[in-house]
Amino acid sequence: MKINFRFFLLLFLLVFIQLLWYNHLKLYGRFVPIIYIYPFLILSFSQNNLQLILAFITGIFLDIFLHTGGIFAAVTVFIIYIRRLFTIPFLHQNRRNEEQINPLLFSFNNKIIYYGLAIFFTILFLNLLESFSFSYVFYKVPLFIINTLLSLIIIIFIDYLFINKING
Amino acid sequence: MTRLLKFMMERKSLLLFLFLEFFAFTLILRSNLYLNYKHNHFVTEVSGRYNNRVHNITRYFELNQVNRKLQEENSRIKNKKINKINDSIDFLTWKNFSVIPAVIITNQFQFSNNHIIINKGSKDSIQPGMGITGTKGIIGTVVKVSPHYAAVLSILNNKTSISVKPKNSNHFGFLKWEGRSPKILTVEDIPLDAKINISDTLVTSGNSNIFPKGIPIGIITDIKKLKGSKNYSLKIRPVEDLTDLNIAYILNNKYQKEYLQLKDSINEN
Repeated sequence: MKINFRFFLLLFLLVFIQLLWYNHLKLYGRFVPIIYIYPFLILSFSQNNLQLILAFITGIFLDIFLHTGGIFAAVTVFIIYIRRLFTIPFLHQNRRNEEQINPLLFSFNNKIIYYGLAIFFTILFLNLLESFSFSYVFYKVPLFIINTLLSLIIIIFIDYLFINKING
Repeated sequence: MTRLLKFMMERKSLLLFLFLEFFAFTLILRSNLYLNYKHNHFVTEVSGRYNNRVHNITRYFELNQVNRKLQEENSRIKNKKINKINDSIDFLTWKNFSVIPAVIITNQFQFSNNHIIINKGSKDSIQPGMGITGTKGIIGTVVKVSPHYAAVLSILNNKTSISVKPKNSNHFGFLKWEGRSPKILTVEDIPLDAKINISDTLVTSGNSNIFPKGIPIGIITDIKKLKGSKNYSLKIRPVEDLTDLNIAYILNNKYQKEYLQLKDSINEN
């Protein structure tokens, strides 16, 4: 996927849902799927600079509405910058360094690994930066796994119902 | 110079990444100083307006719940009126306070440092440092104010430190939150001399002048005596369901400024 009108529409929609989930939906106060990052994860691995700037703006936007300083900005930029690493389990090194890799063309299993790792580390770093406490983060790891699974279900749903249909 | 420019051009992505991270971390560090920076008002006002609009849509689904809570509170106030003579000492501390009702627009409890936004701001005489209660017990203190909204530091925050005491004794300790569950708060520093039992109620001590004496906070669920310590470590269940807040009351201590001036003058001497 490229940065185009459809990308911005999806980003706006998912950021809105993310804010709604954090501020207005309850789900026992524990279960918060991270979905706003999905539009960035499906961008091809080129156009890196523009992606970083957009990731930063999205993060700052979330920080303003969630009163979290610059935590979302720092984590979103970091995850987008290193996201190539999440393909290590299934892509050969030579293939991984190619500029035009399109994550939407990954197989189902590879998508689960790629999205899963990206979301898990997003949740982990968000909590680590927010609490500045390793003991707190280790205690919450089982919850991060549940939140990752919850996010994956939603993302795979969006991926197959809307994105693949449009691309196909 | 040419080599430096060439080096920078080759690694422009890395440099941009480092620059954005540096900027984001600067914001994080500044926000940790209780968000006392210039765009304070702007951030509170913008997020307040957005959340207020969303709240206006969602609140219709919560009207039954709000009604039930108000009915409960009415009956509690009626009972308190009857017992007013017995509570005469608490009443003396209450008379310094005026109460401003507000609606909670957003309530976070997913982070380890949570905030609440209420629909009253500086135009309603709200100021940072004022205490906030829900319909049953305390919920936080005001930290930021814009003309129409205020950001409240929830007691579900690892910066929380509120002076509390058992209802039937005057030994006081400090309320903390470890960030694990919104249903579990901890209280440290209550001396072993205090006679406390499981199911006892903890209330505000009134020491800080932010909250009057005697507002319920929670019920003791676990008592630990730490080895080598002269104090208890308590776990308490908050009386207010901090994941389900609709109405807030801002407590304005009319003599807070005078109290702080006096305290400062003592410290200077």
